[in-house]
Amino acid sequence: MRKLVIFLTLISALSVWELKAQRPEVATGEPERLASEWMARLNALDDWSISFDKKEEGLDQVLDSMMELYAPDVLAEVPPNDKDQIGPVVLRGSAQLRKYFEKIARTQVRLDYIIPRQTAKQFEGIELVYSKELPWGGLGVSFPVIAVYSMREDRRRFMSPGMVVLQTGEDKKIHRLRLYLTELAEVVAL
Amino acid sequence: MKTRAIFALLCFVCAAMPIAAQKPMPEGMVLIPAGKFWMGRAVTLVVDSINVRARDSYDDVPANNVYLDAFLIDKYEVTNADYAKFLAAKSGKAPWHWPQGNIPKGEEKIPVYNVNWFEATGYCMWAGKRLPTEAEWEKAARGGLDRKIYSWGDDDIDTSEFRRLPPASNATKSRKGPPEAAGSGKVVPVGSFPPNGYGLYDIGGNVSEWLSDWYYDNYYPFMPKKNPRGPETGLYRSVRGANWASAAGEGHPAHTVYFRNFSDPELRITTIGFRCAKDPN
Repeated sequence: MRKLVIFLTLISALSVWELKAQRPEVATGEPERLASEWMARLNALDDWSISFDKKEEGLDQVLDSMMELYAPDVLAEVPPNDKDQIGPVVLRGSAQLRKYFEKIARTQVRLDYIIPRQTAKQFEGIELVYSKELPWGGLGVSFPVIAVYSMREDRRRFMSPGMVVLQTGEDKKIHRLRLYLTELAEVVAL
Repeated sequence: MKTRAIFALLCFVCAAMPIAAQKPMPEGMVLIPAGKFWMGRAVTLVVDSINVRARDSYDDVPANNVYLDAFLIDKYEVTNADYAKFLAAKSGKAPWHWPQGNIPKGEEKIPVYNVNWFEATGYCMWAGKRLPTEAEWEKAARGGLDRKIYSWGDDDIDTSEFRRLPPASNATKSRKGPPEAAGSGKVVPVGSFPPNGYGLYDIGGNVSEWLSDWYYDNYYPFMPKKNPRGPETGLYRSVRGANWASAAGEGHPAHTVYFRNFSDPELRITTIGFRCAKDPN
């Protein structure tokens, strides 16, 4: 009887261990870390300069840093950043996405994307990052943003509320990106 | 009096000079003026998880405000009779469905089909023209309307009506209806349907049309805003316009003016023909 109990216990322990091993590994705080990394690298896109001998210094580095987060086959749906474009911009692959971010880096300055904070009951200033483990592995993460930036050419400043939706794979890289921005408004002095 | 006569003569010569300098409009062509237009889909498409076609149709966004120089484009699709002249001049290969290499009886005014991209290009070159670019085709197809869904406006039509029309007849001329020949069920003589705003016939129907551009489904995000000519290279050539076999029914994407299609340039098929374009100078 005792042997049977030990045997059953062992079997149960093994089953639990195997089940646990099958689940995609998601570190605690991973969604918040991903959201924070994404925002930091986006806001760093204007951290480059033109030297006295007219060389671009640091542009490739900030773009490389942003693109490290993505898988090569990333599919992105982003808003246009071109006055002669309307409608969603669908980008296939990291090369196209890099061109998109490069355009932001070249045309926008004072990037200040923020995750708005919410206070309720005893909770103060909480950044809301929603997440779900995806059935096929990886993580789905979404969070509200407020995009604030100035145009490099004339320093006019704009602001737009929106939403970011990311999906990572088991390789922890972003495979899907959706950036929705609405109601673009110019920030002007009263 | 003499001075007055000289002055009057000079005035007459000055007035006549620009008229004399103007080249006559090539027969059967329409001048599309230079300027900007919104190319691509400027309306939101409701995408659900079932509508696979819609989900994959992101090749037509974002819409781009594109500038094109003025160009000339054929009023009608190239007909069998036109193509026969080319074959006679160049000893080319007749479309495979022509009996003994001759135009099927009574089909002189039917748009030529079963010609591949190279043959269509060859015809246009022989005629001193070229295939239109994808941007030129869309600007011409819009007929001067801005950001509309169809070449006649935004109203959906039931194109199944056109599938019931008698084939190869002029009966359609007398019919009331939208100015398109899409989904007619059989190819019909060119000019059977009313023209669009620029006076182009069958622009969204009868046969789809070969274009000069390579097709690339992700071309629009970074396309040039002035006289775009498509990607440098590719696997398929662009094809535009619905055709007699396009699915009928209200609001089918093939009938929209921004719908993009493509085909293997070697392919000869019954649904693809062409029309030519030309630079004004």
